[in-house]
Amino acid sequence: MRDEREFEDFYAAVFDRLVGQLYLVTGNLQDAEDVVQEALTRAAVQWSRLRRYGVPEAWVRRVAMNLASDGFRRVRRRLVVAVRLRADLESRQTVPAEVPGLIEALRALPMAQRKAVVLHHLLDLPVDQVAVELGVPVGTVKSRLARARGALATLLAPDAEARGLQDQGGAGTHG
Amino acid sequence: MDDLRERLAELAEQAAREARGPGATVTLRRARTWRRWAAGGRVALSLLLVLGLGLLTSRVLGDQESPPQVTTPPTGATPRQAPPRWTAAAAPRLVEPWERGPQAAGDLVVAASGHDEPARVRAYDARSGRPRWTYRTGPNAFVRALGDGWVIVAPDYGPLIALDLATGKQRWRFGLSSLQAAEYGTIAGDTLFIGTSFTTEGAVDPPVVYALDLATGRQRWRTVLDRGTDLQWAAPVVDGGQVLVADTLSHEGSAPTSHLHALDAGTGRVRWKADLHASQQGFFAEPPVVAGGLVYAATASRRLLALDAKSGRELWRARGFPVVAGVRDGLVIAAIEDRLAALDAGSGVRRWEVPVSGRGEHWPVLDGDTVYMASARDVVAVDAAAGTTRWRVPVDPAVGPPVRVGGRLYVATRSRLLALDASSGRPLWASARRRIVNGPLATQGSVVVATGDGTVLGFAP
Repeated sequence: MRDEREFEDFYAAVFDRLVGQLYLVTGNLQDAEDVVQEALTRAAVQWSRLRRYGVPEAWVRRVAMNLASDGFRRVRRRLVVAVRLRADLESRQTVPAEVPGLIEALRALPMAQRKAVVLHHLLDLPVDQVAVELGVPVGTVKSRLARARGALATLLAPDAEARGLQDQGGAGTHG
Repeated sequence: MDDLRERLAELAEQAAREARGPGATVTLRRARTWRRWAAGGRVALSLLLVLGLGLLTSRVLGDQESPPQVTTPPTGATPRQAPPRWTAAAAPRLVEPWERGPQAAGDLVVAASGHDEPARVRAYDARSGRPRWTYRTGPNAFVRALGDGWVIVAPDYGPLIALDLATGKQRWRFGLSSLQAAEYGTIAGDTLFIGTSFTTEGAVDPPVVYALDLATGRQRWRTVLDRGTDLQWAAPVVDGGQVLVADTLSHEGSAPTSHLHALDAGTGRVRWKADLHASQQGFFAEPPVVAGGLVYAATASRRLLALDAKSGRELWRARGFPVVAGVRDGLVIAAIEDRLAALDAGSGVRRWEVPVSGRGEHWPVLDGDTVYMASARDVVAVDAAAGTTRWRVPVDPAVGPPVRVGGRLYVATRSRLLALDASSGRPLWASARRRIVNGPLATQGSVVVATGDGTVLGFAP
């Protein structure tokens, strides 16, 4: 029972926060809720062991990140048996656009880049720890971050002038 | 960058406020059901379902059932503190650690502002830090190649812009297609060799490698590589009349595998291409190493391949993700996962190995008969022939390869620039604590690092 109470507290503490983080990865609120819920269920299955790790939230986030991959999601949707309240699904795929264009820009990135962006820019993990989290070489993380930043800079620019093709034209000044 | 962080945090918080879940009670109920299924003895369908899920997620769970890594930076003795000889403000915020930092050319240090606005490329006197010139471009600025009196600049998605190194004046520009992104280039003789990739989501357009006349920007040749791939991060290697460029999958499943391509430097014709046996995406900043008629290439499938430089034929392969330091006396010396190792250049047989401290990036450098390697926890000097450790000094995680100048070895860590006695490892001096993102760069009597707040610091050696 003590384990269950602990898990309930843990669930209450992390669910919203992880959904927020995973929303940036999935680009879809319902998907973010799904993968976080799935990851938390797996955490509940082995909670007595997991709680001893000390950082179960990182574990759940990593599982949710992996579940967010497209391939798994397609399969999972065929298998999933959980009953959900989806009456307002369509209206809940995105959150109100208080940050105009950002989620659309994130969606335009490959999933791998989105994960790197969230881990590094939102969660402040250094590049080598992002590499450990994602199980890829450090160079791959750097490349994904660099490309994501480039794409976001272009996608979030106020107008087409941000395109390199409309480069403002250089001007040299001498110091 | 902080702006992006704030915007991401704001969006995540909005989503968190909207989040709805079934709650802990329902989750625990599901978990109990899972456990009952897992306990076994249920109907075959349930078992198959569980097994199927287990198979699908084995990689996920396999990884995650061990505790997440928590890095604890080590602390070393702090030597005498040395102030910088000069300080220059390079950008509102300088390029992030994954971008290339300041580079040296002639008597200048050239730094670009990366994705920060306003986009600038700046050149400083390497001895004094005095600004020489500034070049404005947009919407972002990267130095893609440097050398022989030229600076090649490109924002993301082109065009390529050639500047005179001495003056910063634009000499020519070379247009790229929409969404065609320049990679890093190599200047060799009178030619710029540079690749481009189409890096947007879902793009399968093939990378294109160009050879441009350095004086005029005129295209000499272009070679189109394989669909569904992007070029590696490393600049092309020009050796023996051929240009070596490696690719990787542009996204998972976009191509069957990745290759190393050898192009004729004069015509662009593909001389050979070698299968890197990597069906997953993986980028490396380190280029292939050519020595003794062989090419040593890292692959995303965590292998070091030795290929015949004339034919591309694979001669041997070694397991583990390598960062090659160099080749000397018939030994290929590389950091391979948790070891610094020397492999027989002809056979790949491991001749010696030294354990590496900590996970994270390794920066091995072969310097004469010594291998210096900076890692997440220490710097080590190893005899290249025998593999014996000469000294080992604990430091914070390094951000770049160590550089030796005379009898001193310089190491840039995330928090300090350190000067060590190259023969003993004894700390000589350290910079004040700052967030260092690139370096060190030794040029013209200065040791240069870049900090996360957009500053370039030059130290007297």
